[in-house]
Amino acid sequence: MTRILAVDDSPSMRQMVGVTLKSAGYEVLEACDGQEALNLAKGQAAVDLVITDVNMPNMDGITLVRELRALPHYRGVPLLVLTTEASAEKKMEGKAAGATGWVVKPFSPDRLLATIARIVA
Amino acid sequence: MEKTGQSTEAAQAVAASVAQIELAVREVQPSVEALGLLIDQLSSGLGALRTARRRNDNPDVVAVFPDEFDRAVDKLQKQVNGSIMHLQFYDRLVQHLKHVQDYLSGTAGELASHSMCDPADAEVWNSMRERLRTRLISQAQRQLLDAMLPPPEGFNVNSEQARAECATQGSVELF
Repeated sequence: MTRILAVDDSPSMRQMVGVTLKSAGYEVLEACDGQEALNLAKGQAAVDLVITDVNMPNMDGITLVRELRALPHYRGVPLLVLTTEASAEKKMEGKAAGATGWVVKPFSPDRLLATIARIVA
Repeated sequence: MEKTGQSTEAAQAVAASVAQIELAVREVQPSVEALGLLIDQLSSGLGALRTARRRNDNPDVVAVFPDEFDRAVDKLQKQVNGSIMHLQFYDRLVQHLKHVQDYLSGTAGELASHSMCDPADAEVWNSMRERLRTRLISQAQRQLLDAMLPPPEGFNVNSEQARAECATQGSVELF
């Protein structure tokens, strides 16, 4: 089963992402900020995709992407940013850090699932 | 009333407003969590219905209305997906209010600790305004701020240009 790590400091957002992913049969791991996600990753948690918010306490999503890309076992893992940040500048920052894609909230469940299917195929 | 006294009163009024916003967000949280749980349960229920439909795909039992069943399940799924989208606006609201709260808290702090005639204050106010503007999450929010509290140096980016630089809500871009 494809396993996805969803990272967001908002419980309701984690819940909505989780509901969407589980409805399509994905297994979902959750982390409430970048630091917790990085700890999971460093603890050898194997995932097929990471979906992360940008603005979070302790460690933001862009830093998380950069840190994950530095881990040998995460170099090939798709990292999707799901955020309210819509500026071109932030998006370029995410791309430079190693993000695979950028989705602006509020997300459409259908579009998110179609995007994920493309990425993890 | 003296200027310092007015500043203290203003600081207290702003701080009280921040506390009210905090309370309003906290009070509505349990209902939003319950709504999220309801959406989760509806989605799980729909998954169970689909599984049951496949498992009991006996023509004698369901062949009379299979299309209606599938259509009804698909329609419910669309409604669940719509609920997921709409609930995300609550998250945006909370973020928006948090940024405004931080700005107001900074304002209250400045009012309480500074004399209003100090020229160095202008930099502090501008810095606080710029921090809020950076953290706002939509072009509409930034335009409202610019209209109500224009930047001292004037606009360096027109609204059309700013809009063009921002992605649309719900947009997806793969790199």
